[in-house]
Amino acid sequence: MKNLKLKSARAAKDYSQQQLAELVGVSRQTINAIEKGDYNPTIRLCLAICRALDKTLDELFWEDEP
Amino acid sequence: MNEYGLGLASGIIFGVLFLGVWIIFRKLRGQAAMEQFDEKQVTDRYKAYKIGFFALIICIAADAMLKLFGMSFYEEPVGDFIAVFIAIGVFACRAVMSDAYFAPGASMKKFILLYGVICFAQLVNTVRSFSDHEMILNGKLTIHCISPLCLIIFSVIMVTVLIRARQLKYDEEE
Repeated sequence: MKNLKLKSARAAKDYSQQQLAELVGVSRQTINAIEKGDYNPTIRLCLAICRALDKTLDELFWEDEP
Repeated sequence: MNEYGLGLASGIIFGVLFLGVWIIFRKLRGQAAMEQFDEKQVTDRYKAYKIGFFALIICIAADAMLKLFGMSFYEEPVGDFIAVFIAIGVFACRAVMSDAYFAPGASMKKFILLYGVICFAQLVNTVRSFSDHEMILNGKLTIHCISPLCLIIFSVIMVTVLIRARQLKYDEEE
């Protein structure tokens, strides 16, 4: 499932995938895979992304009720 | 030890020495720390290692079957080299296509250039071996076909890297 919250939070900060990847210490392809829903990051990476985007885990990674 | 063995041994020793010096130099510069694989890449590399391992097993089994039925078309150590090269190629191609071959800080262009140089060197050796009629003896591939094997493997890896680089170039953010 695509992570649109992450994508919109990144866009709100005006970060490209490459910039966000450099901030959290991963490759651009990993950020792309997370946004596309092709990869489930570890909690450590989730926290790093949240810190970079000034968001909480719930705001970025909690799945909405169907 | 004959001349060939001495040449091979000295080449290996120099290669190991060069690699050791290079690794120490990179560690001193802190460069190794910059080129760590991220968690997704580590996972994908494990998958690539697994696939490469199974490719090696299959090649060894095929080698055993060919020898069993007397259909081996190469001399004794060549089969082992073929199996190893195939396994390395499978691992490398799988890792490249899943973006796990290059660390985040690594440059694809440098690797493409390096592989191009290696391919060119192996091409020269291949042409030399071919012109000296050393590659095939009594209808079997000899140890002198190692250079063509290296050429093929590095060419395949380089082409895979080029394909992936092109895909990433057009992999625009949605």
